[in-house]
Amino acid sequence: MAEASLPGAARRFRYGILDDNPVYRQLLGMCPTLAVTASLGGAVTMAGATAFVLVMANIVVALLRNRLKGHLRILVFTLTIAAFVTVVDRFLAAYMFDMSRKLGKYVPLIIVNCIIICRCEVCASRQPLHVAIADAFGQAFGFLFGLISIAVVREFLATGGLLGWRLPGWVGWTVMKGPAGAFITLGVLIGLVNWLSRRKRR
Amino acid sequence: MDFVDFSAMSEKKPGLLQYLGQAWLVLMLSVCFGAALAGVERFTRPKFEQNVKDFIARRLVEMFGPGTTTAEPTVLAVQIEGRDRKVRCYPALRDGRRVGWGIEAEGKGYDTLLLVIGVDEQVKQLKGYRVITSLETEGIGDVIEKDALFMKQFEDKDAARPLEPVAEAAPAEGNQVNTRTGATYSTTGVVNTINDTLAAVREKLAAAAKEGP
Repeated sequence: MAEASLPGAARRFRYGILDDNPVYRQLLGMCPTLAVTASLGGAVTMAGATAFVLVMANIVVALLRNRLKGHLRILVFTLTIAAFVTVVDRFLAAYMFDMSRKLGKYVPLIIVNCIIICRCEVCASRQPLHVAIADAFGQAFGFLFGLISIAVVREFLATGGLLGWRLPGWVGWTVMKGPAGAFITLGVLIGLVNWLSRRKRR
Repeated sequence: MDFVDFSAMSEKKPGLLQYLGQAWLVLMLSVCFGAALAGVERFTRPKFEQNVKDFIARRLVEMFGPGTTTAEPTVLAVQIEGRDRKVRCYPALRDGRRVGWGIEAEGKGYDTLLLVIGVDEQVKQLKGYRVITSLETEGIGDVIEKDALFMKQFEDKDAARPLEPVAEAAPAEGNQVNTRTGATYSTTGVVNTINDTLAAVREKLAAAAKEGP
């Protein structure tokens, strides 16, 4: 596809947040979406870690895009993503030890997060650096929005509050802490987003 | 991006230079990322080790009671499963007197485990264990750090003899520990890690205890 026919930086940024939201539209990165959204703190940290890897991987791939061999590109993407995931994993273990323990294997699993490899393939390997950066930030904000919205619902219903604040007398919904609560919340929110989109189109 | 014509390659065997010509970018990136990661590891390692030390100090209080402190670890060079390992043993101190050890132990459950094992000074009685880091599956293998009944089984066991894992439903006697159905790899992994580590450090720590604080 000719580079000129691809979306520019502003559209890439906007698409990532709304029209191509990774959680609600592309249904990518479902593993962390379901696993770490039991609490708002975990969700924000995971979104931040993913954002760092997404932006750095897009920068490196966009800079190398004219040197990429077609049959080796996935290897280059994976190598780049794995390196930045290791960086973020070591920094979390050093400076956010308790959060690193809480997120556990989901930080190393960012390596196989489809959002990142998808953006390398769809945008960074085809478009200039500034577009790749805008795309990475758009997708990162979209992912952050997705994780926060699910975590807010789950943490509030499970504990009756957010980030330490508690509603007096609230009886927590234990189901919201587990995988079943994650699936239910994700399903309801996807349904809500689809309903709102359809209403807006009408 | 350009693609390689594999049908043409199959007719003529490519030489080393052709392979290098194809893969130079991957090789260069590997070297650059490898060097960068070595730098990151060097930068973050002291902070991570301090975090682990602080974590172990808090867990020693849980296992040995309030007022327990720790100091610089004794590092023992041992062999575990035929591999050379360095095991850090943190002294559990109360009123300046050593009352036991917190032994940092690495092993394998479903994935890699890092534990701290609490034992008395003579390495004769287990005080329990705590998980430092683990990659066990949430909701399944993480019973090793969330199931209080499973963890409590290790308290006051004989540290001079190996622990024996038995099925969850079987009655456990003496040094037997009930594993958990559905998390057999993880729970047996904890037992094996404790057995292997204690077997490797037992004599050296007991000798250190005889020498005094």
